Amino acid sequence: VRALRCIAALGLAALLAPAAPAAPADPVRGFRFHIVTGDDSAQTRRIAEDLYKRLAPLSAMFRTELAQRRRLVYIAIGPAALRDVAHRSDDCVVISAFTSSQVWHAVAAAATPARAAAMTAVYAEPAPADQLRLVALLYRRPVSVAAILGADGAHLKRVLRGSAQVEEMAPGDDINRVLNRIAPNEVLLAMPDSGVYSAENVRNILLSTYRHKQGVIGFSADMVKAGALATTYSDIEDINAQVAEMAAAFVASGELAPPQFPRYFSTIVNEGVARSLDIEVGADAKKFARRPPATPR
Amino acid sequence: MKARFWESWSIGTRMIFITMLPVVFLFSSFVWYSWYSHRAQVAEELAERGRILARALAETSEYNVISGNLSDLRLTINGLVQSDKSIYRIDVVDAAHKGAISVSSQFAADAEPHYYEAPIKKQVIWVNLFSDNGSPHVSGPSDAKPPTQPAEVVGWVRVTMSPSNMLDKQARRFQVELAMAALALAVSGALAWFLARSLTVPLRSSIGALRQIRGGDYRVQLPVTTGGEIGELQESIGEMSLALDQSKQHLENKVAERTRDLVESRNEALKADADKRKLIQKVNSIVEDERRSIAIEIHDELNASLIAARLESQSILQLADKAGAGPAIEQIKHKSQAITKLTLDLYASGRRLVRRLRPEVLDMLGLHGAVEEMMRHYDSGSGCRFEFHSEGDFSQLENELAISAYRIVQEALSNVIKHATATRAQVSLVLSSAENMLRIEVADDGAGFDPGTASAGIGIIGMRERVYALNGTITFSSGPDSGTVVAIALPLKAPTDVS
Repeated sequence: VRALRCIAALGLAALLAPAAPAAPADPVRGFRFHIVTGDDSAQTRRIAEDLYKRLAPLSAMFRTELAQRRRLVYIAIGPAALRDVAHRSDDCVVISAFTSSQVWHAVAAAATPARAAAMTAVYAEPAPADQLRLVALLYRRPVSVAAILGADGAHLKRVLRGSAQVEEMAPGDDINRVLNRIAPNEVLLAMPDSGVYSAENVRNILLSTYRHKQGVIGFSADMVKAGALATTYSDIEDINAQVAEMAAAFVASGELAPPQFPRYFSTIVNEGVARSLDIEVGADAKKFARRPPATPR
Repeated sequence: MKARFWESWSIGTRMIFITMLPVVFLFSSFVWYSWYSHRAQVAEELAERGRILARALAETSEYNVISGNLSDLRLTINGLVQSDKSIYRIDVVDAAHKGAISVSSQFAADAEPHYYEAPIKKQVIWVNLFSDNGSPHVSGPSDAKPPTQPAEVVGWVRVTMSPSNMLDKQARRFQVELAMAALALAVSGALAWFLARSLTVPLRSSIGALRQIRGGDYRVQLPVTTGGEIGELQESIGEMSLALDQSKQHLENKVAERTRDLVESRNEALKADADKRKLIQKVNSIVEDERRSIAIEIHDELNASLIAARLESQSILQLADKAGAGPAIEQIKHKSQAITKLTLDLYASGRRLVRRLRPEVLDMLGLHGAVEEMMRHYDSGSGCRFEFHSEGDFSQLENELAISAYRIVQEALSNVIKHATATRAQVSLVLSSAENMLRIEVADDGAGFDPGTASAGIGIIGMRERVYALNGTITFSSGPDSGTVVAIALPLKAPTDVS
């Protein structure tokens, strides 16, 4: 599998290679973007191809000395690719995309400080602030929001502080008990956390919250289709646009932006769930989105 | 050939049988199928409900079993069991088949020997949970087909059904169907009876008319009461009776005409018969008179002449004796002796002829003596032995009757001698004054003959004619090798002479 990943990475690097000779006479200005993938799925190919189109114009803008030393910028698509580049010995910049904040934090925590300092990310899951705004648009009144976080959710706890009741779930805890504890809240804000949400219990969580007449704000469109009330979500192009912006900013300023939640998103609402929860979904909620600026193709 | 049991049935019974047989078969089949289908329906419905119930409960119990909220599930199951009388018991067991909930019905009477079981599966839905599995975390809609997730069995729902409630319902439906089928059967029976009656009533009237016709009453009134073949039959019988009546009238007229002709013919025949009798009697009388006159002539003239010739011949012989001897004399003696002998023979023949032509013994001895004499005559010259028996006084017997009786006996005995080759013959003469009848019977033990096939000879014909002329009767009783008995009855009063 690892060999496959490398081959994919080299292949994509070769795709980007023609961009390097754009300023062959000035070696200081030269740089290489290296898109690293963890698999060869159709989705990954689509991400890589779109990302290549977006990163190709940036090749001539890399000018600082720091950038000359760190000539490679790794774009890690997915957690597997992130782990791959995190274990490399060079200090090249790594921009992680399509990886949840929990996984990114886990990888970063395991990396060396130098390595971690050269890593940034566009998280895969929606921004909690956007989710909370969506809640406000859906309910049109103040509602109590709860979130269940596992042991690895400390970074989210800080984000949610003050805006949602955070219920911690220790390893071995019964999810039903935790759900019972948050039963008084009207909304469960679900965040990606392998310590809380698993394939085995997600249906149970959806059923329980439904019985408790709680709306679940999921973290993906698929989760809304499975029974969550609504979510904001970012398409591949949304994430790639943000990655490209982040790369451009890095090339322009030499400063690596901190990890961030997706900036561009759309909203999906499960109308059936909304009806059962007696929520009349307004147009502003349905149209709640933030679109990236149009990119010339 | 042995008659089949239905061949003695009336057409009405056959009609009802023909009409009702398929209906009865249909009724029986329907009742049987209805009962079978109701039973099968109960079984199928119970099985289906049991399976559906078990599966539905298994689906809905998943959350309760996983979350451990069994009291809520118990309430749900209890409400279900108490509201549906076809459920006997519902059990929920965990994955280790350890009982978790068991709710029995308070109403169900009996239980099926088996239960319907459905696994409580922990359903897994595939959602990209952004786990650290290598693939990119995309929050947007995914076009990828979710992988198949194996479902874990966390328990079982076992539903035991009770058939009594559904059986009662089906039994009530079956009773309604049975009542409807029985009503249809009764209506069919009534229709069959009416149909049969529509056939039997005109047929009975037709049969009655035919019986009348058979009894000779051709003037029947048979109105055409129906159509079709029966109507045609009635119409034909009416036409036939009319034609028969006309034919009868015609025949009766013809018979009456023929009868008149026959009566006339009979009267003429009777008259001719009487004339014939009288004629025969007259002929016989004339014949007898002629015989008598011939006999007298022979007796008085011929026989006297023969006596005279014999005396002359004897005189010649005496003269020859006296003439001495010589060859001529001797020859004369011989000739005279021959003439004497010849005259004696002729005289004897004459005597016999006279006796045959006119039995003077009849005049002298009467019928009784003449017959006795005749029998002695036959007895002496034949190998047959004759016996004679007589009763009554024959002295007052009329001459005509006596001669006819004598000739009849004479012919009968002649036949015995000539044809019967009998060894024994009996003659009986009985004159009954009370019956005014003379009965003659001649019986022999000879060869006999078949009166039905043997043709009558001249003798028998003569006997019949004589008896017929005297208005008497004659019968022949005979058979091959069994002898012959001839019985004659002659009335004593003879018919009047023909003028």
